[in-house]
Amino acid sequence: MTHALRGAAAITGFGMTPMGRIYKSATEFAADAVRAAIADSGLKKGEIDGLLINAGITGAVGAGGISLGLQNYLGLKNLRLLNHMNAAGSTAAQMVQYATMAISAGMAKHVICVFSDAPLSDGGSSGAAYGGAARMPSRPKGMAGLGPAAGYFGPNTGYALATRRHMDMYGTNNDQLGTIAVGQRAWAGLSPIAQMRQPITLEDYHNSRWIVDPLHLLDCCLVSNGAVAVIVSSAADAKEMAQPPVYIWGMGQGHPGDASRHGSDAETETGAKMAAKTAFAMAGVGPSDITQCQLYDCYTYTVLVTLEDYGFCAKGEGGPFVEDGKLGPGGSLPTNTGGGELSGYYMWGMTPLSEAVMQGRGNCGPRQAKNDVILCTGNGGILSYHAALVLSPHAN
Amino acid sequence: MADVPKPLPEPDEASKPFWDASMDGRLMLMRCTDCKTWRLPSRKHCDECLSENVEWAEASGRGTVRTFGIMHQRYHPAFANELPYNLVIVELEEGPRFPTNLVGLANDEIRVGMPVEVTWEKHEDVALPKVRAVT
Repeated sequence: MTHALRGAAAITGFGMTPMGRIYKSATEFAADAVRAAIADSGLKKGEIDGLLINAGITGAVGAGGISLGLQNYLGLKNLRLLNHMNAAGSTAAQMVQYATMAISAGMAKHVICVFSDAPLSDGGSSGAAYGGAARMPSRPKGMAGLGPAAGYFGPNTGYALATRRHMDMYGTNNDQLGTIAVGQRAWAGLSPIAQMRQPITLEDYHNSRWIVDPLHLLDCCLVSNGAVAVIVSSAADAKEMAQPPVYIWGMGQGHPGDASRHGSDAETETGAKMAAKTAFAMAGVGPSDITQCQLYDCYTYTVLVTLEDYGFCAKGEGGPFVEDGKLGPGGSLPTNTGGGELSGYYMWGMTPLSEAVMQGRGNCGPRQAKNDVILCTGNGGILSYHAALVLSPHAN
Repeated sequence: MADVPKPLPEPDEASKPFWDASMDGRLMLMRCTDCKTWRLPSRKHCDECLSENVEWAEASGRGTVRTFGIMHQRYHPAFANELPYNLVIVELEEGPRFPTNLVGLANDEIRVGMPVEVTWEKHEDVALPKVRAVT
């Protein structure tokens, strides 16, 4: 029996700002993206009756991220649904999920979901934005101080630790991770909005400096300033609106928690496993039906382990699976076709979601891939949080 | 650079017995008196059974390298002179895992699964649990 929510809603509006080292406040970026999404959808601002907000890292460090106050900045007066959400990089997909459920329950009609972030200051590094050392107190309190005292700073460290574990267990190597980076850079070269478009080779990858061994610089995502907004509406409304709808076929989440003691293998078996089960069952599809992937790729390793957990290959076989370049242009499983977070732009879960919307509409020109069934994922923490969407240009 | 101190932990109420014992070279952890699960002393409730009944007990100090990375990026000025340094996650025999550094071995000799034991690096009011390889 078809799931009641399969195809019940669609993405009907989409807006994004320029990305990168551009300096505005997170609220101003958000307003730019919302204005663009509303114009794209053909709705009037007053028809927006739901607002879901995700503040990015700027919110996490209390440095002026967007908050509930965004409603008033945008002058939205008719909201029947409002929240400020954060499950890290899984939030973008989650906002679309909650919007879909609320619309299906009759609680709202057109929900706008917005992510905005402005962690880069003029002259500041990505490491300064995410490493946390600059904000480190001279004496961190209690056991939480063990990490900084040992020189553990930021997500690069956590993902390097997870990657090493996978390498040790399964023989995964840097050639395989590098193939992911090279493939996504090739995709980025086909996207006018990607930040890093210069082609790279596997040799360039190996020559890029170590950040935290086993991760090279080219294993790590960009950090960007900017915002993305999407509007979710019912499938019935979507058919009458300005843009080709991108239907939501399946939704799922999985959150295994931190690998803080014996018994957890969260470094190598992620929440994607649980999310896959729920989302694929709702959509009525399996890995072999997916025609393209837009996967959260804060690091090359995240792509590799996510592919395993969705069942595209067996656990531990992600390395051999990707090393023939099948994720890149011309490959059999087009993945992160806008260059992803590694080479395109880093907007947390809005990076894969934004490319999925453009691909779903068929607007991607030379990088357009077969878009019948799109897997779009979000991941956050150190592989701690995961959410999935199965999207399609087809109503059913 | 050498003038910038490393960010040493400051004992708080929950962790004070851990840091007091650290100065005597003893690894004191919390153990749930109901389900016997060990934990680092950073929380009131057991993360297995959610009980608040707890005792302090001395752990073996033995464990294995769960995973490790070699830090090349300079994040904090106090570590600038030590780059590249190792960062290991140790899983204690009792179950908890924690981040630390493996001392006494070159970075390229560190292996996942390597048996290690805690060795203390003493500072003025806390000692840090580092690990060394057990041969």
